Amino acid sequence: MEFTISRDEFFKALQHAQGVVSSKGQMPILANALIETEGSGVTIFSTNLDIGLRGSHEAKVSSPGKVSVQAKKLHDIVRELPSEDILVKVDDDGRCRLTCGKSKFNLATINPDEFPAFPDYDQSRLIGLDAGMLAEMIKKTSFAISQDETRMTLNGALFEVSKTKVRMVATDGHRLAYVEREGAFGVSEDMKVIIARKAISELSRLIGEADGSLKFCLQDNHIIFVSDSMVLAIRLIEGAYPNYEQVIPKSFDREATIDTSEFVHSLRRVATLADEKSHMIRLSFSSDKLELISEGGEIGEAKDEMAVQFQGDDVTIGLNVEYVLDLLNILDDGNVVFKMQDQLSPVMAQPPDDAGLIFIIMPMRL
Amino acid sequence: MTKLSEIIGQAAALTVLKSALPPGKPVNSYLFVGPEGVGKRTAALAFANALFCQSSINNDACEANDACGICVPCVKMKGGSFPDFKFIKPTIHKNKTKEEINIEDIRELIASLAYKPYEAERKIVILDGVDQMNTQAANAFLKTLEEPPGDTILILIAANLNTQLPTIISRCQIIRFRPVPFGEMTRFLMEQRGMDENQARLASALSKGSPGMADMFKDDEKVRAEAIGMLESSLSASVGALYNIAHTLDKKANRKRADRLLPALQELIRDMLVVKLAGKYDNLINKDIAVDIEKAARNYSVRELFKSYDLADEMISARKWNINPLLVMSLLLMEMREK
Repeated sequence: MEFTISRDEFFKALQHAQGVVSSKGQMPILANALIETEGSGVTIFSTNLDIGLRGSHEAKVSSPGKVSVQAKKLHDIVRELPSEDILVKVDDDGRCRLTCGKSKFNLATINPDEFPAFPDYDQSRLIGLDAGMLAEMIKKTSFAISQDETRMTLNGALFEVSKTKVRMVATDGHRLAYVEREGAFGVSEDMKVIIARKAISELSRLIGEADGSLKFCLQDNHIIFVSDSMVLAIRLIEGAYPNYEQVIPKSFDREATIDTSEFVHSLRRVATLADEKSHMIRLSFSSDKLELISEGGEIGEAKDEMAVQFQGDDVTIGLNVEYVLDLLNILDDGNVVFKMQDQLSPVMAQPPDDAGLIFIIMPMRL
Repeated sequence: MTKLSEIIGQAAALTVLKSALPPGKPVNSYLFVGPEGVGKRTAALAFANALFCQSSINNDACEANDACGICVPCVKMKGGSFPDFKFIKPTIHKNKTKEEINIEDIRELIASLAYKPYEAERKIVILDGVDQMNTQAANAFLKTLEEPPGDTILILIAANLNTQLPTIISRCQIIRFRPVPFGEMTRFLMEQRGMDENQARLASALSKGSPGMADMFKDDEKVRAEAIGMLESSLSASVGALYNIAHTLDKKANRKRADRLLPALQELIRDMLVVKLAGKYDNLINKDIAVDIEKAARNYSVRELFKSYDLADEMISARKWNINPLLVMSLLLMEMREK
């Protein structure tokens, strides 16, 4: 195997590859990247088994083949090389030799056949998806993904696709974020998969580099996302996602329309004296007025007040102020609508003009 | 990798395991129980391999009921790089002195099992040495053991059933492994390891029914020769040269050798004592080289030999505590030199 690749192209590729390798654990080969010639270029594949990334790159191939070398070392070497062409050659003795100008490197390799196979996917089954839309869906849900690694089904976001709709849902049991968007997705059957938190952030990176459009498909136990030059294979989480629709209330007795930015400022002020463990504050809604109260025990209390539009009987609800701030954080300026039933029922928050976006927060007992 | 069909002396266990291969259906959790060294780990690996093997999945007649050894999963299993297979054993954790499977190991396992299989139909995990799983870890493991996610198969390996939590035992199918019977072991050593009948019978008797231990006798002769060499050097070589011998044994690859040399040395010392005290060859362990032993024994007094014997004893137990071979061997060699 022998090819020549520009240093900058190689470096960019290895930066990506290096990001997903796994250096600890039982399989030393996972610390490696698999470089394979393909037509008039090379593909570089690295994986930690949960997330696999394969990029196609331009290169001058003089003899085809494949090799697996330690990704981090290769990355570190190429980083230090000048912007020239690099000659990569694998000899019969299995050593991988890099030559760039007068610099020469000789790297150990592991049998490339031992490298985990990249999940095979059928190109014809790929479905188009707007990258910007997916980015927005991730941004509006990922904050609510559970950090608790003992409940792995909640440790990811639910990704649901039907013929005309795509949904993303995340919850940690105390709050839930839900986005639904429309489009034409020619899926043969409804798709419902859980994508792990770590994979979600890798996906965001891929979107950041894709120009506008992205394709995806489901392949056995993986979901595959394809951009112009990269393919991301994400291993799905086992098990069923909780029935989130049950949590979303259908009817409400009370509704408040609140100015988002004013609400944020007021919440931040009151949050300073909220209980340090529970982060609880009280929100007292009455006609045209919202009172925000925090009781920090021995340290002191805080109280703030703002004007709101409110319909329904007066009500006081205890909420985790961090949760409220988290969701206001990702909303655009303007109004947010809080819909409530009573003191102990889930609170639903939505922008007034976007029915496809739903946030639920469970109230705390006062 | 050893195949199921190559495992000796475990007919009952193998019958159950083979019946679980396609078209049969394995259960979720197994507990392999039996004395150390009789083939539990080997069988667990072979069983996992056979379940992953393509030929077993396709149920080809040629290799039915065993791994083929040549398909992609078999090659990856052999290379230790099959993505849906995990092998967990007790390790020495930070700030701890003894080997253990602790809660961190179990948490990591649970997190990794949350993913669907990478390329196989199911994931398989072997937990070797569950005797050394602490209670906290065992309790954290119960839920996974009862309902392994997906079609995951868990194979637990333990030397002793009595030390296991009843909650663990009740969740597993128990597969018992027994010491390999004398006759079967002797036959195995003669047919597969090329020993002559006397050698095989002796090795079989000393192996306590463990094929692994019997295998070790095969190159015992080499170890003994090395031990004699060391004994000779301890008399004539310089302190520096002795240090160098000890130093090579300290290299990671040689540590196992050091652990076998020590008892061999001790046996030689013992034989020298016997020759000196009894003046007869009858009870020598290394009867075949009795003349050499008698010659060597002339260099030492009885008291010196007793001292060296005790020291060797001490050093053997020091190795059990993982004291480094450099220290252990150089101490012993210097002592023999100084007399």
